[in-house]
Amino acid sequence: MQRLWHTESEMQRDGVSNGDISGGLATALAFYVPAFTEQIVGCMFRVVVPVVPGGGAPGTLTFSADDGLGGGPVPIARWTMVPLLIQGIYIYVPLLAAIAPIDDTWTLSFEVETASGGGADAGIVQGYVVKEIDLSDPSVIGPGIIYGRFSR
Amino acid sequence: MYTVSELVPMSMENAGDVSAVADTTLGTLIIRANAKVLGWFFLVENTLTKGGTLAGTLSLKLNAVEIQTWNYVTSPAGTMVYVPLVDSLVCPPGYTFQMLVKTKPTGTGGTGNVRGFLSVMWNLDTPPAQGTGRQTGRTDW
Repeated sequence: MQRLWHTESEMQRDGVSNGDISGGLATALAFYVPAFTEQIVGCMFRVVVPVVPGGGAPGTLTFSADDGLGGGPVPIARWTMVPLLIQGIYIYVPLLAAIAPIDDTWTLSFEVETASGGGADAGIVQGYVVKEIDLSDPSVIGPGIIYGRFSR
Repeated sequence: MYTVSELVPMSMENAGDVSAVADTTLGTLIIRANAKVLGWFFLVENTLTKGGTLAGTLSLKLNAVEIQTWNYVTSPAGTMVYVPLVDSLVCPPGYTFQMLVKTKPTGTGGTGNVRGFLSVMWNLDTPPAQGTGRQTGRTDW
């Protein structure tokens, strides 16, 4: 994950969908099927509408991977949220170790879980997969792909 | 002339070690030319934990007045958080920004190491600030 910041590597976000957490305890955001040989380095959450977890305890944002072998999704990155009251916040959470899905049977997913009990939850969150791309290959940069470059 | 799509994160002068319970100032950045400040980043270099039972905070100060606060629980190394200002600020030369890390005074002390950045739209001909460790980058969101 450090190489994302210390090299000229690029990151790209993809697999976007909205998650409305106003009604339930756990809400799936997006499912993303990676392409072959992608190197997934982290995930990013964006607060579209300010998030207030109910129940008085922090909620969580979870990024999970399912290898398609029947074991179901396994959490690989998790962010504990206290109220996120400002619209437009981005949170990038790196994976402890990058994963390279071996084929397109893998599925990556996001989930918002708010604390049980207490008052109503509110907010809308978007989830993004963050992966490294090779800018020398223009085929990876297409319509709808948004990327940012960071250098130090 | 401001560029429309340039976000320029500029490094504060010092990383902040939050292992002490007391407030830690990350760094100070002085605006040198008119600039529009959009928000601020922080980057967790070593896993950030809070002390005590409540969330810790990272705060942005303008001219010694706290204008925005982020509550944190625990953040793994490499985490980056971008916090936009509710309203962007047009800042003339001399405006001073600081960032602080606060851990809670109860329980054990917080640990971690954090870097802070400002996000600024600026005239490319007149860089708004000078300092060590300044970073440039472009993000298209």
